[in-house]
Amino acid sequence: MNAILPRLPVLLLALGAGAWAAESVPRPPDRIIELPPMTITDTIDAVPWLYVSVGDTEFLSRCSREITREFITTQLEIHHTLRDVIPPEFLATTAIPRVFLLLPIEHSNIRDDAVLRAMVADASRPTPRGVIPFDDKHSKPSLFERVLFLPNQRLEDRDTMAAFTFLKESNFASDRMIVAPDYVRSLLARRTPMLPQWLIEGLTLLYQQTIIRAGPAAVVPGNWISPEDTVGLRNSPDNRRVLLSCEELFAVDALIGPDHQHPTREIVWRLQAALFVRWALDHANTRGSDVLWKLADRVSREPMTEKILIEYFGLGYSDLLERLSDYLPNAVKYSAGLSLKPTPDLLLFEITPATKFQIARLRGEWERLEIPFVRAHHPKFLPHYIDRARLTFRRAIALGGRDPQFLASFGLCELDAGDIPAALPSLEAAMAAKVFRPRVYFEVARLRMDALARHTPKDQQFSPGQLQPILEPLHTAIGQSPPLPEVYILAMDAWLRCQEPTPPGELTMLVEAAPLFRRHPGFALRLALLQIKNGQRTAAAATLTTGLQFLGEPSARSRYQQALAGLAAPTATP
Amino acid sequence: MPAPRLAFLLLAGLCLDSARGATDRFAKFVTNLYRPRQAEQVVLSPDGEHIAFTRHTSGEPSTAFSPDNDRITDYRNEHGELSIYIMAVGRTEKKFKIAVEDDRPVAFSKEKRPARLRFLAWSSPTRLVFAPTSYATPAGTIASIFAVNLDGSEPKTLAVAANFSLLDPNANKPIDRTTQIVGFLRGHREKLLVQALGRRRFPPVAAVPTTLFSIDVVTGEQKALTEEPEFALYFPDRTGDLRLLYTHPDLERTRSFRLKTPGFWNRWVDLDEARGGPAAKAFTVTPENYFGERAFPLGFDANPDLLYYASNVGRDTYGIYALDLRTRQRTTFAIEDPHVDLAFIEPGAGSPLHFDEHTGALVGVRAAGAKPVTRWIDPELAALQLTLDRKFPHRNVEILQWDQARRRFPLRVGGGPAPGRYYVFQQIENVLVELLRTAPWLHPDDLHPTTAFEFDTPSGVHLTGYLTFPRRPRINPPPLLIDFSDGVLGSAESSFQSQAQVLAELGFIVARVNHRGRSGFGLAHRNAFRDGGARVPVDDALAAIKWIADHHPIDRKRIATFGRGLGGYLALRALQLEPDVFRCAVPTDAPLSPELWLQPPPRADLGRGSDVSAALSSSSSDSSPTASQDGPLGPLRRPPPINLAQETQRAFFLGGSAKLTPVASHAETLTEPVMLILNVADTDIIAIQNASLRSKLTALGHPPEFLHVAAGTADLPDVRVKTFRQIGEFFNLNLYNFGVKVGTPKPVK
Repeated sequence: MNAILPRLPVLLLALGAGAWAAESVPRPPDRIIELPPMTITDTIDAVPWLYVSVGDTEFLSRCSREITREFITTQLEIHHTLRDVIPPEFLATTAIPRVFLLLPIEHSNIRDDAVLRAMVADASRPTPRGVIPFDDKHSKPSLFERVLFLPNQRLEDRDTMAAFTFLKESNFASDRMIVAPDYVRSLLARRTPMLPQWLIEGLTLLYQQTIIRAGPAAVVPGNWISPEDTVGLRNSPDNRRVLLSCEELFAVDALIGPDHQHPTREIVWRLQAALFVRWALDHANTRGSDVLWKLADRVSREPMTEKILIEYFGLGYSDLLERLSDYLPNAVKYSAGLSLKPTPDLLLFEITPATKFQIARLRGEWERLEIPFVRAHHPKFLPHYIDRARLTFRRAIALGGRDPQFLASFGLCELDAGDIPAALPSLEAAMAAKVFRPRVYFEVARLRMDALARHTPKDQQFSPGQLQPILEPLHTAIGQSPPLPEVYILAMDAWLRCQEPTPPGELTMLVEAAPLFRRHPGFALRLALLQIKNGQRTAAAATLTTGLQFLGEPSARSRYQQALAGLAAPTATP
Repeated sequence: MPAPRLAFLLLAGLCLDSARGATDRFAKFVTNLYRPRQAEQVVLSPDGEHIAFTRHTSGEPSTAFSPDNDRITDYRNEHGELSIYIMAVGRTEKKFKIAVEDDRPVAFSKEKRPARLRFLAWSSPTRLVFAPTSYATPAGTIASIFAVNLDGSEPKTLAVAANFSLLDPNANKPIDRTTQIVGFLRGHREKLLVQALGRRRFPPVAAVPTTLFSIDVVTGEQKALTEEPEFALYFPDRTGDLRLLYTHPDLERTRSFRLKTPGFWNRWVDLDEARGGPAAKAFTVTPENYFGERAFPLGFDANPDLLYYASNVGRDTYGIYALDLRTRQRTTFAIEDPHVDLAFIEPGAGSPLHFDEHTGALVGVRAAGAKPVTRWIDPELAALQLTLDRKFPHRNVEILQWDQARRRFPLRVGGGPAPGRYYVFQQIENVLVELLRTAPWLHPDDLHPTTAFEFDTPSGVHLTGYLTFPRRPRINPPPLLIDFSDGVLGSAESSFQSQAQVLAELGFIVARVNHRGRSGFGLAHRNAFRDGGARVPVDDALAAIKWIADHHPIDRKRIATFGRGLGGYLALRALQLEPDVFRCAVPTDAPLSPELWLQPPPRADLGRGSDVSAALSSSSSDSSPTASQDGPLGPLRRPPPINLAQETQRAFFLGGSAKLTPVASHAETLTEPVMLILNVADTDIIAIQNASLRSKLTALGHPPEFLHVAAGTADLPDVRVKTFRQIGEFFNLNLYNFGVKVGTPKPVK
């Protein structure tokens, strides 16, 4: 354990520190296996779990009451300031509470050797077909030595998110906590209508450079593409300035395609996006930060164009490039002040002992989210994670747990574990209990669609009655938050296989949802196909044309262009 | 009537205050606009790793050549100097600075004139060759050529003026020769070709010969490659042979191009004779065809048997073609543009041909016109140009050079509110590296935006030009100023112009119209003036006013004219011809009676930038192509030693059916305020004509404002600020003055 401790990040990160930790902690030797924390054993049951529900987060803590309070208070503060720097309307929201597990590192064993031995033993068995084997026979150190449990991690599902943090209570310093950049990026990326990538990157990087917890809020001097370039620019504004044209900075294919993927170009693009955001928020340069947010709202619904830039900033692309270039030496040399609104009173919260069902639901939620992560990264260790999650849920079921959220989590756990028959009853029970969980409705609809389409030809059409059990849960999901593109896409797929025309109201609802998912590669294409099926060829062409403007990926573009070409071709007369 | 009077006083006070109260700001603005720009020359090393550029500095530490060339000394010049900076392109590295020359003293003035480079090039990835423009001092001619390694080692003075002078056996004293640096010998970048230009002398004394030298840029060894005794303008080919000459006979009105034919005796044959085809006499130059249909050579290809030439024979604009000297036939090579002349009208005056310095192949043709463009022959460069144009919308992107591997491309990007910037496009990384701004002291927020415009007049004339809008107009809508610039035969306007910025600072929308009579837009566009006289450009100005008024709010009651040289003449004639449209005029050095002005003694200059002045300068000096700074009162050039230019002007201006009405002959029609500015000696015919007009207008009861600037000092910063300030005061009193009756606006015809 002592060998692990130095790898813990000094800075505690809120909600999603895993990625940050992976970046900040010195990289371990090659082929280190980083596993999600799996240390919630019953050996320390004497320490009570604490439960807090405040705002949009549920906390489950095994730290002291004081540390838990300080931690949660700081969480609320830093999330408030995040929303001061980035207006909340540009961050994704969800009606489903986030889950946060907090454990003291003094009382835990983040590398449970007994558990690990068992896992390694399982992982070292002959590899079944289809599973990627570990090539560890001749490697040093051994597999046992190479396994590392991450001290912080954030995991996401389609409609919720959970985080896990080990905390050293003896030297906990809340003023070192920040919102993890990857969490900020995630909040921006999941926002609907979807934001352009340059804005997501720019705001994420800018937030990383923002000091908001000591004195007046300010953006610290940034770095440019290399230490030499940064120092050179700080020493002399006449230093070379490596830049991208603004047409490329804002392009949907800025980093797509063989000509756009040089590492230097990639880093310039990221830094220049942040430079633009910083410049736009700097009151010395523009008419105020509101201009940036108005532009951001606009480009979440429309592709960025020079005309739009002129409309908001009075500058064309070439003008902006020159302004950014001139601003760069200042941005790497000086801080820029941010005028933030005074912090309002934080939400009050109460710390209570956690009930067994609360513990099971929140732990179960975390452990279920570990399953897809481990499957994707280290499938050899998957059985242990599945077993652990099932154990948590089944203990609570044995005690009579029937809460809809609990059932939803358990159903999704079984689904993620690959056991559909076990998943379906819990999911349908949660659905019957009108759980607020869009993914549950989507999964039930998906499973029903799979069942309906199984053993039928691909072009088999269904009656509205046959499709009703699929569409009904989707409609419920559409009424919930967050909006999920796959819900709409499945609904469109269902209507594409319907014998009858799509009801006008249904089609209108789908068309109206299109602006939310402009940057989703499949959405507009499905919608256009549905419009074609319903005889709306002109509208379909418009949908494709608009959709094409948001796509940079060549294969997706090619599909859209093919569909457009098909529309342009004269229709065959019978 | 106290109220209107009070209003006038307040307004006048405000305007004057804004001119005077902003004294420091205005002076700084004007001075900064005309400061020598950075990077008048930029060159990329053949390996693409370093770039060298010129810059004017003051008080910065630098490296300088010691007199013995053996070492580098630390050096700090507090008074202004021309420097060369060498910087890495692909990484951040400390720049290396070489001090080239102090700013040059100006007679009878405390101010100094910035030195400039005439040549800057890399002979190898590590060795740089450069030469300041030559100039004469009481002690002799200064015309040195230097070389140095990029780290400052191995400095070498390759040549001084004495290396090119000849001993005059009659007077027993050296004869200095002007030099022209041709470039590197093809395939031998270590050999620099320098042409020592011959000189005419009257018989029986033989002419000073023209000699082509090769100088080794490492050792400094100098070798005469070839010499021609006859006085002419010679064109060497890439092998170091003076293959072509442009005759400059003393007593004939006809010039011709002659080609050296291979053989022991080096027989020179007329180029017309060397060329077959129907337009066999197209290469002969006479005053009558100078501005008409003709052809002239531009330069040799890497293949010395291929000669590129410009011709407008049988067409409206100059196209570019090639002549195979072995077959005496035109090749299939042809680059043409229906609206723009692709070549200047005089050989040597800025060749449009763009060669790949690594392969010697012709890769493109640069055309001026309303918007400068390069017509690339090389498909890779043509594709790159399209890519770069997309990266810089609403800008002019000029690919200047490239390294041997074509990985890095220095670019000049202009056409924006500021004079321009230099970038290197790194193709592999697909990023831009901004290296420098030509005028970093000019902030875009201080500059007045300029946009290009073009439209067809109701009579079908296609007009182009630029509009500069004041950021802080003094009244709304703002007044309009029609700047006739250099007037007739002047070349196309450029997007950024310091003078337009100053006039916009005075509150005007400044319109610069490429009106008929200007060069670069074909025969019909230029020659319309011959038959229509001043009425033609004035009509174009009226059409432009209407177009501008249709698209931008302007004060139709406050339209002024401005111009220099013949542009000044047009400014006054516009006031006479359309007194209901134009409110006042500010002509500078205007020949008020062009016919008299064209009579001997010769008066060649038609204004800076004109083709004729370019022609003259090309035959008399090796001045830098970037040396001409725009300005209202630039120096007039001295008369040339021969009169062909004078004759071509006479043939152009007097050969048509239009009569060039003297301004003074209808002085009574000049009822609107006029400010006459002179920058010539009192004895100059222009000064005499202006004095006559002043007398007449004074006698008529409305004396003009008058400003006489000492000849040759107009481009000095203090003088320029003072001149513009007085122009501003003239406008304050005569245009912004609401107490003055402005008349009823009438629709423009």
